[in-house]
Amino acid sequence: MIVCRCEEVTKEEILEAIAAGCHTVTWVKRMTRAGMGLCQGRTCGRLVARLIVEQTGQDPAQVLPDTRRPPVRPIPVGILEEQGEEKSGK
Amino acid sequence: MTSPAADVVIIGAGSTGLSAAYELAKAGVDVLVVERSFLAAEAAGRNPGGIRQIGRDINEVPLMVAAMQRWHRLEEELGCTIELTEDGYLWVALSEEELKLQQELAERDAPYGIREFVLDRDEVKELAPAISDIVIGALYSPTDCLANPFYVAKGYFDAARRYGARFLFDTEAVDLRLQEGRIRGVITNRGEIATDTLVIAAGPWSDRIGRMAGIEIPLTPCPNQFILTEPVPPILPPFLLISSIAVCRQSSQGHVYIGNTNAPGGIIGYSKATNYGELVRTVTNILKIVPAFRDLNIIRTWAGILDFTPDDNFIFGRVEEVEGLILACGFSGHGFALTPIIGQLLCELIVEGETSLPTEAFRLSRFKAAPVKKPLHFAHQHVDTE
Repeated sequence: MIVCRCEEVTKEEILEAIAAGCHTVTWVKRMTRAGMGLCQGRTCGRLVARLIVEQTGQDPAQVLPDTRRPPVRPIPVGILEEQGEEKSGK
Repeated sequence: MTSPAADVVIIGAGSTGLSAAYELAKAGVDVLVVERSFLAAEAAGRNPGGIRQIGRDINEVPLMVAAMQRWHRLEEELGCTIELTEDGYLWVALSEEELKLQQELAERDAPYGIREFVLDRDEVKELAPAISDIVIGALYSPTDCLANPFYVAKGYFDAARRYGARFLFDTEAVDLRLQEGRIRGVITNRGEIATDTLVIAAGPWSDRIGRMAGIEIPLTPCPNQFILTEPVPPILPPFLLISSIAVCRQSSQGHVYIGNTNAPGGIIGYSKATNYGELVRTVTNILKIVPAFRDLNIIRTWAGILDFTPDDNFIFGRVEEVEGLILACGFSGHGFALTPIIGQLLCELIVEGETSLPTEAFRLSRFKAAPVKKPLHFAHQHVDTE
């Protein structure tokens, strides 16, 4: 069963990571890539948190979401390019 | 506190601390790692995984050659994949001066058996047509490698534990116990740990630990920004492209990674919040080198803190002032590649009393002896051109 659709990470892989001691969403992400894809964990983040709660018996309120990283939605690289006389690629 | 004593305590579960814990535990030493956060939480888990032989300081070259031999055996040694690939490094030159330096370094490194080639503009174009004409040449090292930093950290962690190393996460060193000029213990937010040997491997925060022992470690924290794009069809071969103004790599999965080259002289501090101005500078610079990145979508940005020393070389070894205190910090942005050898050298220093490769040049005392002189190698390119 796929939990992270963007990076195609299965439930089994996430359970393995939790069993190996990954007790936070961030740590599971770092070890499995779950949450590193296009949607940045907006779909799988809560599923991973739930699996951690189920497996470790932690209080759900203590399992914090992964660090939110900009941008909120994908943006083209060129948007960040400095505009003006210095502009390259002319 | 379930672990009130250890023969060796290491502060920091980053590349250095993990590798040292593994080597020491394997040698039968009772070792405990104290980490205020978790595994590879800082630079060890935020870097692109580059294993570069080219453009290093001359004193680092023998260490890097030895490190590379260990990297190639590491998967077998740790019993797990670390996604080691020989994708190479391309250091692109943007000025005649830089090209001249590359030629000098290539000649200097030849006796060490490092395969590196000076390319002219046409040869760069042939290798990677997407690179713009701003690039006048390059130093190409096809045998430089990349590895997955998370897998490296986890591999060392698991292997170290198999040999009996202990780890305390969410545990922060708040003070040191000293007695008659020697280390007696570490005081943490969760209790005190008695030890006679302490290794400071706390990256940019090592100076704080040093101060607890009255030792001044000259480190400057410099946040570096990183950008990752969606996966796209190949634009560049999977080498790590480095330059004086930005770095990038398109992985074999297609994601493009872009990083900046912040160093002392630029933004200083411990903030890992994404810095908009730095992202703009990074993007503007990388588009000068690879204009085709312009239309790719950015999916993630992050930052990590580098610990620069006044001469951009790391600090290693015992300190004269405090018995039992050992430093391994200040890697100035080129520490990940040295991971296997630094752990080995720390283990040798602790177990045998001396290292099998020369480390004298990396002592803390060098900063007291003479005015800091920056030798020429890649790291200084950043500083000089920003």
